[in-house]
Amino acid sequence: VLDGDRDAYAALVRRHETKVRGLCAALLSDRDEGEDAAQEVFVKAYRSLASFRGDASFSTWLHRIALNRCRDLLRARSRRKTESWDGILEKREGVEPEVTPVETGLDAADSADLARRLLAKLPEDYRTILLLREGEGLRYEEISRTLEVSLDAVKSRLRRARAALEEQWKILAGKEGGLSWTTTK
Amino acid sequence: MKERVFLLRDGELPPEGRGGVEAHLGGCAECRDLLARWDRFGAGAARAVALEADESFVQSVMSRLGPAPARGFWAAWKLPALAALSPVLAALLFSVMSSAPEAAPSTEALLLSQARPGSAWAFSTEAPGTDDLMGTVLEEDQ
Repeated sequence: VLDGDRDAYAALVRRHETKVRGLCAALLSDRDEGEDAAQEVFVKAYRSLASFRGDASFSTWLHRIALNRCRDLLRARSRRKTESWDGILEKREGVEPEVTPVETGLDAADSADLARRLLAKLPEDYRTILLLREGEGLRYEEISRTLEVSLDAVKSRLRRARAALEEQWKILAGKEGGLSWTTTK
Repeated sequence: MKERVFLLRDGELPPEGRGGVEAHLGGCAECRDLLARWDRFGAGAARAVALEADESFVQSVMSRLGPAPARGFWAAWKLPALAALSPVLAALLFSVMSSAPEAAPSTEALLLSQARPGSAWAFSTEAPGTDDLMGTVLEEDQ
């Protein structure tokens, strides 16, 4: 791959594309924007291959590029929103994104939808760490390497992110009668 | 306890701590509820990020790639440069080795060289130890 072998790089893209596309779409809460971001991630990774030192796995390195790209896009989106009339009005009226009621008996598609909606309500840092842990199933050590923070920072951020998500879940359950908060009878 | 329940769920609790948390879960409906809720969320989050493989995505990426990535000056020229320099390095190493000064004689060897020739014990099999020999040489010098 380092010698510019495109077939070898295509194999790497095939191996990692589903995870990177999924992560970008979930981080940006937008499937189309996520697809574009994921393409940019792989293009950037290819052009930066010389800087891949191999001290982390290729997957971790790719995740890091994806997180940085999504962070940039979210900041740009936030700036655009602040500058636009829509953003001003939304702030003034406290308009919530449109939500679709979810029934108590969640099937797989509903549970993915619920997860997306809850994650979309969290600050970027919390959404990221929950996606890495719950979505990607990464171990604390891998999250620490991906986010380039200490293990203690991973644990405390995860704790705060979970508390924030539980709050959002309670709010959502209160708004939508059918969405149960407790599951044990 | 909630913290440890999450550590158990995440597979990050050391084996010696698991028994206590599992025992607690047996008697605590609130913590079992917490686990069930997060299992539900986790399954949803995993589904949310796991998309179907898409070959058209791969082809789009490949069509956007420019020329082969630059490997950096040193990475690209390291091997040719080493190959070109190897005869020079070998010659340099040889000249350093061949011009190395001979080991300086030890003080003991110098002193012994001044000992009177023909000393009866000098070549005998019962030659004295180095310390005795040194003592003798020094006495003779005085």
